[in-house]
Amino acid sequence: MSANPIRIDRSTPTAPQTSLWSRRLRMFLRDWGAVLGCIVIAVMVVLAVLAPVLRFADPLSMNPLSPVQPPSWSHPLGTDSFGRDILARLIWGGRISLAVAATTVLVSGVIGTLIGLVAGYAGGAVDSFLMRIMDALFTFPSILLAVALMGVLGPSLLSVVVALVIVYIPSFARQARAETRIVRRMDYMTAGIALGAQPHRLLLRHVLPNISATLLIRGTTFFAFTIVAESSLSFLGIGVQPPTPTWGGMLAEARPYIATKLWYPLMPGMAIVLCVISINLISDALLDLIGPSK
Amino acid sequence: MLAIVIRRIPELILTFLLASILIFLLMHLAPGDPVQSALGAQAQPETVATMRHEYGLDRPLPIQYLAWLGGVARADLGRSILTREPVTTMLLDRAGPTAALALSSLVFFVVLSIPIGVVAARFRGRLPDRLAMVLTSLGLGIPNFLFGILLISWFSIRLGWLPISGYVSPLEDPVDAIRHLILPVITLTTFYVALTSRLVRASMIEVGRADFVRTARAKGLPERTVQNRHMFRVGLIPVVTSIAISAAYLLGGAIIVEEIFAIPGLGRLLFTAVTNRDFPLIQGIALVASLVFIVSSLIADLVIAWLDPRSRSE
Repeated sequence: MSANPIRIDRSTPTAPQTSLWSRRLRMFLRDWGAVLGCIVIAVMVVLAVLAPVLRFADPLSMNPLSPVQPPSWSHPLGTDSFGRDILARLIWGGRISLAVAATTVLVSGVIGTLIGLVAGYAGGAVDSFLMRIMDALFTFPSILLAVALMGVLGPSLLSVVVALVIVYIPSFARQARAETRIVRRMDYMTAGIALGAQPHRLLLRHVLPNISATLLIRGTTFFAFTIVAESSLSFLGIGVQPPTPTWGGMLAEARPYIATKLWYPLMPGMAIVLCVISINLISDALLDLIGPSK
Repeated sequence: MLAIVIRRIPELILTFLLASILIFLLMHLAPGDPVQSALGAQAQPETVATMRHEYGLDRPLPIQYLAWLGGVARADLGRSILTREPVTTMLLDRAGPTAALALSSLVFFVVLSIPIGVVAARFRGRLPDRLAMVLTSLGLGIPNFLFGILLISWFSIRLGWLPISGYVSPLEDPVDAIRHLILPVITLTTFYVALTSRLVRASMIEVGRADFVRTARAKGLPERTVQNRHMFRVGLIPVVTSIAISAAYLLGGAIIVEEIFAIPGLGRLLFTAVTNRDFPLIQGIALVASLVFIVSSLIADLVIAWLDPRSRSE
């Protein structure tokens, strides 16, 4: 039994073998705000998705005998003015808010990115034409445009999504165009064009992967904006209609109680704030990862 | 300066025309007949037809648009479906409160956010900066309708310092007008104060790295001079456009703020128009908002030209 006297250190003395993405992931995980934000959003998403399965309370069943009861064992967050369970309504309302925000960001992101890609790549008349339309759409304050569109579309879940998609397309298009124009000047693009690659191949294989990180971060920022916009429309009473629970609608119902039972309007209010701040923390951290400075 | 105005004007007119086409199309291509829905499902078909004719809705879309645009050029925005009043008159009646709200909000948020951003950048990473970052992230996270309600519950109901709602014209009673505007202005501007002061901070930090600032410090200028004379002016350039957009977008926030504080302005008018599907009125208000945006972006260009001589020769 003799130990081998020679030990060979097989680990490389040079740079650690970590990829760019695992380094970025570690940097992201060091940001406690972003991690906290992720946890909050994850809990909200899980609750929203599982809402029909959980079934611990019915968001619509009214109980006229117990309106606006403070939190108790049977109703952990209390009851609303119709005696409905606030926790259940918050969870079901979160389903609407998150679904509207996800759909809106996805659809307006895809359409806006396509417009921006084409405008930024083609340049010239196509670019001016498309971007002029985007500029014109951009002259309307977003919430004003959304409210005006709700006026013609009529209040419904689909109308809310359509209105918000129209509102957010220009922002994505502008971002995608600006990024595309930067990428277009790169040597690999010139090489691609010289080799005779088709525009759609260049756009999808070379431009899109290079601009997608920024667009994704844009997407998270707009996710937060959409949550607020959807709640604003519901708060005004022109979004998704009652009795379907929405955070904005619940806040509007709770408004008469600000003087006597402040906890009641605070429940839906805090849900919105928690959701929006969590998303903002995540998008700030993502921005730091790819940001030019820092 | 005049050259910039002359150069920018055709471009702005084009944008405004496109905006008018877009709002017109969005109003007219949406499913459902506005007249039918304004009169209700029980309305007689003849009444609907007469009214459709009266509002020119039976004509081809391009003709309708040109007729409307011709009216716009003469400051005639058509008649409201619900009240039958001229839209222009309705807008002018309601413009005062919104103008008072928006202008005082603009002054408030510019005066507040620039110093916050400059101070945060100067003390980067230290207490004032950290405090500013926490407060601005709260400001960006809290929706104006919630913040407005909380302000009312605290300052109006609990402490009784300020009126709960309503509007008093500054021309009638300036002191009471200000008391009525304080909470609405704070509600309307919190988001923009947070956004703009973060932009100012980022921009000032960026400028602080520039060569000319290093030169200024290297030649021994006092820090105060470097900050005030060299960095401030340049640092503001990227912020101006954002301030102009925010200023125009204040009109959007006004819809919610006017609703919460019961201010009889354009925002509430739009809200009523929307609940009644009164499309000439909706169109008119959207067009005014677009015009405000275009004028404020022209002003932003002028301010940038004044701050940044390089932009004048482009």
